[in-house]
Formats: sequence, structure tokens, C-alpha cells
Amino acid sequence: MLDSIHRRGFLKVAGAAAGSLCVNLRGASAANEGTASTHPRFYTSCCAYSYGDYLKSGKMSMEDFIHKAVELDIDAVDLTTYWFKSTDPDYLLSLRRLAFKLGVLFSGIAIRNSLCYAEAGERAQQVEEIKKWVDATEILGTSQIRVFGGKIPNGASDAQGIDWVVETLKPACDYAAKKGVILAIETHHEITEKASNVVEILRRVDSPYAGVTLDVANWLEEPYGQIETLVPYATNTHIRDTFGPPPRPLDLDRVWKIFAKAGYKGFMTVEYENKEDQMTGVPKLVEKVKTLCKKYSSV
Amino acid sequence: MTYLHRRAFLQAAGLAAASSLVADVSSIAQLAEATTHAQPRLLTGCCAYSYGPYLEKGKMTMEDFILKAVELEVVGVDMTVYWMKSKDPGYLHGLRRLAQKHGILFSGAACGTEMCEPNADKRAALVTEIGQWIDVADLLGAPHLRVFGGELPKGATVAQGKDWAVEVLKPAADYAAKKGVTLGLESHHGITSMAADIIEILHRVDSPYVGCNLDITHFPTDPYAQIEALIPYATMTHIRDHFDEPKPDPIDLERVWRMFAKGGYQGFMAAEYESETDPGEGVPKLIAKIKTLCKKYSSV
Repeated sequence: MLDSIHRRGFLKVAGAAAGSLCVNLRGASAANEGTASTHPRFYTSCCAYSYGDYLKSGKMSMEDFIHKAVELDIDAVDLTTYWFKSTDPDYLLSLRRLAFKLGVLFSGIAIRNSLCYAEAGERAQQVEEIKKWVDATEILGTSQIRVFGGKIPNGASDAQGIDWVVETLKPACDYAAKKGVILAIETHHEITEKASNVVEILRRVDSPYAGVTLDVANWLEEPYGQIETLVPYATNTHIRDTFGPPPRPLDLDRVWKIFAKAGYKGFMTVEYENKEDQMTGVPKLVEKVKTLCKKYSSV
Repeated sequence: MTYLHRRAFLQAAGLAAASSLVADVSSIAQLAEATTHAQPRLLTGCCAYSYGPYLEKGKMTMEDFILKAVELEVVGVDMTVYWMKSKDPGYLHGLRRLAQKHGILFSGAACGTEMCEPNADKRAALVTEIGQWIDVADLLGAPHLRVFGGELPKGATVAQGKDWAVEVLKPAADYAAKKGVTLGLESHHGITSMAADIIEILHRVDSPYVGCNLDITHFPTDPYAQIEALIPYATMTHIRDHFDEPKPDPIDLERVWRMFAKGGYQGFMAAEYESETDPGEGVPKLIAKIKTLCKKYSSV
């Protein structure tokens, strides 16, 4: 029997041909997952991080940012937690209530962390920290958290780093599973610089609650091939129109074609990081994302 | 001003009025609720109830229904609880994960609880029952739960019926608030036949976690006027293309969408198909109409 990650990746890649695999699968719904890849579903979203300068200086609150989604005419927002007032349930519920009232969806939240610590005590502490955010996510009524893989400690190998990440992510996913929340490791240089490392981590964690925040921009070289490798595992995305460093233009139409071909179903989430002022720069990137979603999405 | 008064008033009054009301509005967020309403956000949805005959006979599971939504190309599904296997967290999380994986949003869940109950002990039991369905919505990660007002018992007055509904809905709303789930009182016969009665109940409960699950088909008189009156309170909408009261006339859906757009509605427009024609045939046709209208009137 294929494990859950193998099956998922394989089916998405195999596409319509997956129908013939029924006998190998646990249930009818798994078979349908394969055939459903003919309907890419792209929703437009935006990370709070895109307005980081404004949130940091206090010129914008999380509430203002949620309202901004209405002005931007996008489906959802992704709540970067750096600028949360607190994790007090009343505060989180007020954000959830506001978004519901405005018909704005949450694509997920994003935290600052590292899964790659050599020392067992530090790994255990990270698991505790993630649990706290899983609880916050549950209160917000959303289903995923962006987590970082983290920097490989000096002198350590990729293989060791992967071991540490797996040791941290596995118990964190066990907890997240109880709350219906996915932990989505971001492609963000360091231990996640190579798509193959990310795939290995996911295979070894082997939980339906481990996913990928596929940041299309964080590649030193060869973005398209790495993106294509990871789309079957992606549970959220971060979109920018350059990749790097150094920043080079990213062919977003090509990126969308890759996602559409793989039958991706989820949010295409703007994470703006260009030099232009965010107030004028974000809407321009959002426009590109909206145009491409309209072009390639079945919904 | 109470919460609901303020909300409905601001929404009805529109942009110009809202800006002159600053002094009456207790926070910026509430003012913004009013000012952003110029942008209608009409999201396409479908109730599991639409496939009731299939779900009833076991020809379709809730999992199949979620996958059906991919085929129908709608944004959200509304999880009518009648055909859920259990309230077991493992089962509900399985549905949540499946939906997440397929980019399907839960617009909400819908239970069959009716609140118009003369007996106080039974009313207390109804609060508990609604609480259990709130827990189900919470486990699904769904933001909304549809509840019914219910039929008036023989010999009771509408005024009594509303009292009973308020007595159930108030503590249920307090519990829902803790979970971040909004309760939507459906416009559905009995004490919820008339918009004015629904509005009275909502004002008396006066919670940000209670709204109207606006079913556009069940009004005995003046349907368009009643729909329009309820739009400022709507937290969820059920759509069919014919009335069931006073007779099965076709609904001018374009007119309905225009009203929702004008009212700045921000939420789901969910097909709740109910007809002699097989849902396998009928639902996609109704969904096609909804999609066309949402595309035309929604800002997103």
C-alpha cells in the first residue's frame, strides 16, 4: 500500500489516468481525487506581510487589512501573525467575525519559527510553540499554518537537517491533526532550498496534515522545475513576480500553467516584497494574480 | 443603538449617511463595515440538501457531495447535517481535510432544530441540541449554522412563538459566540414566514453572532419586499428559481441579485434545489444560473 504522501503526489501527477488505480486505493474518494485534477481551482488571497511596513508602523491594523481585501476584490487574506495584538480568543474571534461579515475568507495564518534545531530541547520547545498557534488557528476557523523549515546549523549536513525537521514536524502534525489544521512548510531557502528536501521531509512525516506553502519566488536557480515538483504537495502558495536572490523576473503565466496542469486547488496568495510602496505596489501584483486566476481557474 | 440596529441602519442608509454617523458609531471597524458595503461579494455555493434524494438513499455520501462541488465549479458547500455519519471529530475532520484538499470552502452547516417550543424544559434541551451542532460546525471549520424558527403550536399566538424562539436563540448565540460560529435563522414558514417577525427576533436576541439565513422562496406575500427587508441581516442565502409560497411561480432571480448587490451583501448564494426533477439534472442548471448572476453582480 502506498503511504498517504506517495499516493497524493502520485495521483496528482498521474491525473486522469489515476482512474485505473482504484484497486490500489483505500476508498472511492481517493480515486475521485485523481479524476478531480481536471478542475484547477484558484482563489485570490493576500498575505498581511504584503503590507508589512504599514502593519509594523501601526498605520494599519489586522482589521484594516481584512477590510483591504474587500477593496482589492480578492477572495481571502492570509494572516501573518507578527502583527497580531495577542492570541487572546476574544481578539481572534473578533477578526474571524469581521472577516465572515465581509465575506472574506482566511487562506491560513503564517508564523515565524524554525524546525531545524540540532538540540532536542529546542526542538521540543518549537513543537510547543507550534501547538499554541494551532490553537489560535482553530479559533480563527481556518485550516493551515505556514511554518518555516529553518537554517541548517553550521557544519551540519542536509541529511541531518532533514532528520531534525522531521523530528519536530511529526509530533507537531500529530497535534495539528486533532484540530483539523495543516502545517505547511514554506519553500524559503535554507533547508527548503531544494524541492527534493521538501519532498523527503513530507514523505517521512507522512501525515495528511503536513503540507507545503509553495513560495514561487524563493529559488536561487531553476524555479519552474522546482515549482512543478512541489505543486502536487502544495496546500497554499506565496506569489511574487520575481525570484531570487538576486531578483530576476518570474514568468507568472508559466507558473499558473504548471499549477493548472497539476489540478491545484487552493489559494494563490500575494506576498508582495518589491521596492515600490506597498500601498501602490500590492494592488498591481494583485491585478496580475486576479487576471491569471480568472484565466486558469474552473471556479 | 443596539448592535443589530446599528448594523441594519448603516447598511440601509448607505455610504453618505454612514459618514455623517461617525459620532454614533462606537468603533472604526463598525463604520468600515458600513462603508465597504458598496462592494457586493457574492460567492457561489450549494447545499447538500440539493442532493437530498441521493444522500437519503445512500447513493451519495457527504464526501461525494464535496467532490461534486468541484465538478459543479462552485466556491462553497453548505453541510446539511441530516446525512452526516456522526458527530465524531475524526469523521468531521476527515470532511474538513477533504474539502481543504479540493479547494472547497464550507459556507456553513445546517441543522433541523426548530425553536418554537412552549415547554421550558424542552427549550433548554433545544439550546443543548443547537450547541452540539455548533460544535460540529466548529470541528468542520465552518463559520455558520442554519437553525429554524419552527411552526406555531396549535392555539399559540405569533407573539408567544417569538418569545420562545428568543429564549432559545439568546443562550444558543452566547455559546456560538465563544466558538466564532454565526447562527442564521432561516426564513422558512411558521414564525419565520414574515420578514418583520424575523427582524423582531433578531433585534431582541441582539447578538453579532445571529443573522438571517435568507431563503428567498418561502414568503406568503410580497416576496421581493420581504427579501429586501432581510438582506441587511442576511448571513447566508438559499436560492431556488421558483417560490413555494403562495404558489410555485418562477422567481425573477436577476431582480433578487440586484437587491443583494444594492444591499452590499457579502456572503454565499447557495443553491438549495428542491424539485420533482432529478437533482442530477436539475442542480447543475440552477447552479449555472447562480454562477452567471454572481459573475455579473459580484466584485470578487
